[in-house]
Amino acid sequence: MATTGAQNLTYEEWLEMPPVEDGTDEVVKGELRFMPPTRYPHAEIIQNLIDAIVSQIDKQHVRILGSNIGLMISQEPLTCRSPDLVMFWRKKMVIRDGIYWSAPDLIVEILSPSENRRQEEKLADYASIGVPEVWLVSPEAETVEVLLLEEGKLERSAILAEGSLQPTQFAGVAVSVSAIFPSESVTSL
Amino acid sequence: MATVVAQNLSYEEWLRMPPVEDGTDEVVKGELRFMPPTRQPHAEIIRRLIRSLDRQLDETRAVVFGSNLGMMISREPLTCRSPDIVVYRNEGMVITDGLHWSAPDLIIEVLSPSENRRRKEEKLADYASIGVPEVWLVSPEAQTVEVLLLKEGKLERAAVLAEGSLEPSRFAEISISVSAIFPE
Repeated sequence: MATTGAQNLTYEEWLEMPPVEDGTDEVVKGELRFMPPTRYPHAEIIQNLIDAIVSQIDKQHVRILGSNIGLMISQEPLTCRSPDLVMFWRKKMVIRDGIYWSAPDLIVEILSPSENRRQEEKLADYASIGVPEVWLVSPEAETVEVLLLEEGKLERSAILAEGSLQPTQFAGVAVSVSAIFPSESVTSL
Repeated sequence: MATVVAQNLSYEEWLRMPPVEDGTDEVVKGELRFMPPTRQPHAEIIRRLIRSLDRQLDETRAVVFGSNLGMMISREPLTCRSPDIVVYRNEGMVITDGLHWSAPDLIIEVLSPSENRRRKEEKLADYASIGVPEVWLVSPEAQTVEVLLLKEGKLERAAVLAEGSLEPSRFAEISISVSAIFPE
């Protein structure tokens, strides 16, 4: 769950703020929110996804980032999101002030009890900048919900508990759903 | 997450033990496990499901229990489970020593981060072993319901629903909207 800091922030004020030390920040409609550090199994799932995808992409053309980048949604009111994992075609990437200003070609979010499926606000933000595809991963249900942009809205296309995920914008990439979730031996640590 | 408190329990020893005060116990292969009290939104989801089932079932023919009843899986080694919700047809229900010895016609379990999908595998194997024909796994996080049906001795995934309605195979009179299960 995010903790709220400053309100009515402008882009310029926010850029001048010192970086967040332990965790991540997001700004939603001028309201600064601190996110706690990523917990298990959240971090494991992100790494499993990166491991599975990175060997299937040409790094010269495609970038995969799991380090909570700053993704600009709107400058006024200031909204900057920090997705769990993003994939970009490099030729479409626009970076300014260290912030990503172009829509990723795929966003992956890991759900948690406090950030459950009911949170539609983030999806609306991603749809507003034209993100074509979002995956919502549930460690609890061990499922992945695939949403595709249709007429300005991210709409549920499938919920997978098995089989393979094939991002529409990255032909040739396939990720087995079962490879995403950490094995029980790790879970019991 | 369950806490283990005793091992190698026999059925007779277990029956003589005092009732658990705050929470529930399960016995798995002779190992007594205390379950912590139910937290939200778990309890609210169970309440909604029971209310919906109760309103649609003919109580002269079927019954819903959401009180973590003791459901016997095996006497030797002793395994007794406590599902979140069970639905029985009245005919054929067997109760001895206050415990249910017959398989319910539907079991519903609500998932949580500590009792996630993978940790339910052991329970599903137990339910399949006594012939439970249908199990629903409800995820508050994903806002989905996974429906499993018994096929050749195993509970196999039939569908994962995020919308639409749930219609248990043994209860033609019941239809529950997935979206009505989850609190706002």
